Amino acid sequence: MKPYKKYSIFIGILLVLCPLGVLLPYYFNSGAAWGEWSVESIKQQTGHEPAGMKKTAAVFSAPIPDYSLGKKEDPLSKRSFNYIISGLIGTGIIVLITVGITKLMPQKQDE
Amino acid sequence: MHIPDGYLSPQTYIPLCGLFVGISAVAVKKVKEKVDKKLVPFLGMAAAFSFLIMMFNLPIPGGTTGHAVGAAIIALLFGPWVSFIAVSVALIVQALVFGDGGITAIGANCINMGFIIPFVSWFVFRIIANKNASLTRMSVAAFIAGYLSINAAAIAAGIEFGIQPLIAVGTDGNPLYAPYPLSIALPAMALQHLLVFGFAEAIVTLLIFRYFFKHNKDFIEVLK
Repeated sequence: MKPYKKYSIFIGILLVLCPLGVLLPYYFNSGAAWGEWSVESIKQQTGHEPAGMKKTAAVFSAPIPDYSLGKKEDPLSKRSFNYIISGLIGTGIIVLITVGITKLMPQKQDE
Repeated sequence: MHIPDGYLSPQTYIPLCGLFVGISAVAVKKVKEKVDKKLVPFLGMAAAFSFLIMMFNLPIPGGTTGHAVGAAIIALLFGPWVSFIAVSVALIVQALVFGDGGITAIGANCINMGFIIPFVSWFVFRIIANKNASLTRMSVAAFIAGYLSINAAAIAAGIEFGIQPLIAVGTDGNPLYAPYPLSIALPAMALQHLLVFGFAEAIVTLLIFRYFFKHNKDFIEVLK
């Protein structure tokens, strides 16, 4: 089997399994990563809302926040499916970018 | 370990973004010098792998979550500069499209996960093993390289979080950005990686290293 084909299968397996990244934290009752809380959550934790944080956090909002195409209340099955779609979108964009980068680089001929 | 927008003050994120741009210029030059046609497609593959492995959030029961980065094994297979570019591409897509990591923190995150992990991994492996070492010794080297490198990155992130209350305080004396001091941020970031997530990067590095050693040994950059 050609290495690229093997690699594509490996990426496919990672895509199919990636909902584990949603399911495991859910079943083990784990929250956000340390230092990745929302401004509201910081306010709850410390009783104070850092002014600079609030301003900077509002500067940009991503099109697909938290790899979630739906709502937080969606059933786990739907969240898992959406997570795979996010993985697929991210992988697709990355492949396009890296093809672009490598096209820009003059390549050493190996023949 | 994806620092969001608002946690770092401008006096932290602006220099780190500048440093990131500088390192990127060096990386592109280094990779251009030695890249051959055979290696080119692997950049995209490595970036996609890193992107996906970071989606596997691992839980600390009742606590926080974390994940492997994959930067350590990419460095061993393709060299630390290729790993830097691949992981940075993954991190920038995560920030811009998925809001995972802030856009102001892209420099910090790419330095922590895209620069520190690959270079620590590479040098730790080289210290422990060389191309003539036994597979057992190389496996130990790969495991420790993965473990130590992600911990180094976690410590860097902990320092970046922890210095904020020292350098950015409002007129009322309250922190303007990340509120937790070094005495909290540094142990929090370090301990969860020392105890849990470090092993995730270590195992990913070990398994993929052994796979490549068995099937494409000549291909592994750190053994050249």
